[in-house]
Amino acid sequence: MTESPPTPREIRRLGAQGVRIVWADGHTSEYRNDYLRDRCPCAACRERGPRRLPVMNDPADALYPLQIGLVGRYAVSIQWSDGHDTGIYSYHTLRALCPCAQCQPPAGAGAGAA
Amino acid sequence: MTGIADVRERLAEIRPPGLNRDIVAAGLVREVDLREGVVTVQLMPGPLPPPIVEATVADIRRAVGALPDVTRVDVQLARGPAETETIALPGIGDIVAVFSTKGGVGKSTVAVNLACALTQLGQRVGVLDADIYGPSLPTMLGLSGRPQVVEQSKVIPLERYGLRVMSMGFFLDDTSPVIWRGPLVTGLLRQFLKDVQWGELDVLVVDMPPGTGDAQLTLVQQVPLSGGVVVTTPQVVSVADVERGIAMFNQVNTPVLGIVENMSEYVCPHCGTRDELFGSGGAARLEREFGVPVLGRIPIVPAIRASGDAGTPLVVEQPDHPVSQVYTAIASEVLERVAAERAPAPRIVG
Repeated sequence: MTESPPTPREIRRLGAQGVRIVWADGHTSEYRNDYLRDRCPCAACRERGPRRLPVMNDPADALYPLQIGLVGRYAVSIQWSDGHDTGIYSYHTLRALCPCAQCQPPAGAGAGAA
Repeated sequence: MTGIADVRERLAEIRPPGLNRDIVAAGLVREVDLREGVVTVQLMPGPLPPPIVEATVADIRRAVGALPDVTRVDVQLARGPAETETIALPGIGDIVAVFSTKGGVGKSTVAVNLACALTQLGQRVGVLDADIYGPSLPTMLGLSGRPQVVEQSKVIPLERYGLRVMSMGFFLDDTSPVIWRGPLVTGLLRQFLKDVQWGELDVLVVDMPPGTGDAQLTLVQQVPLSGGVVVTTPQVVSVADVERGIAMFNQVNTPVLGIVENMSEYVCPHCGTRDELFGSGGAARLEREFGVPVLGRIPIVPAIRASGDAGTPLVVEQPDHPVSQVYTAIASEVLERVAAERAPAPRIVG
């Protein structure tokens, strides 16, 4: 309640390259599509583990968000080109997933355990 | 003769790179129309990357254009929301949810009087009775009759005391219980939000069903709420439940604007003695622990109950009543806080 939650100012799809979020505090996060897809927070993906997601028919660069929609004031839903669309990525989750060196300590240990 | 089915068949053969299904199966084709040889296809590109959209549009033109009797193919690019997405409510300034996690604390009474107090402050106000299981707004506002349904199945809210009001109660017989499963409830709420012609409103007050279940989640997830007002009574059990409600709002980034402590004390109409029937200090504790301010304390006054039962909220019936003045203070506090919390929604681009 005390600290204000992370809020994006702009969410930009970069096609096959990924997704870029500019946060209200000025920080910029850039996510690769497969990175985000593998960390889909939906129940099915969490249960089965990220490696056993519905398989792409096409090369990895063909994975991209078909559509990104707002969910209330706290999250976005991403409809992926592989047909998966049940993930709701809260702003908290997205901010925590920011892969930049500043947000993820470079030690390399435990990266991606989210 | 080429028919729409033939067109759809052709469309179902188109699979852009990156999609593991054809565009029809992927739900990207919204509408297909065929009139005098002219085929119109509404494609939801979502956001296939632009080059792929272009290629897909070309594929559609080629495949459909090859059908006999087709003279022209128009492909329109559409955009549409998915089911989980936020419902856009144009024309509505702020949406304030009045909620409690425990029943019987007077949430609807507070919602109605708050709404009336807001109109007295010059706001254009709507009230949505989202308590679909036990809608009580019709009684409290003395409203009966069914709202009118106009073209495109839009529903016109009923009007009373300057409020625009919509309630499930308008569609029910007085006696029939509402026994619905979660998905039905959420579907109905979506419809109430989308299909009611609210017109221009400064504030929409939503009387939430008590608790933290499906219906509440739908509302906080899918409606761009400006904030919530918690209603509680002072005793410990009630306060403990409120913590859960605050946690739910925090999880979805929706600010809790403040707490209204209802039934805070009883003033004996005969001797004027004050008695704290439900104990005291509950709301103050919440204020300390969660940093959520107490917007007002409302005593138990027979006039509140009587006015609610009679269908005229106290704030309307006796605007000078001390309790009405508490409501006015709460209303202006709500407006102030809502204005302070107003954050622009993120833009989605690319």
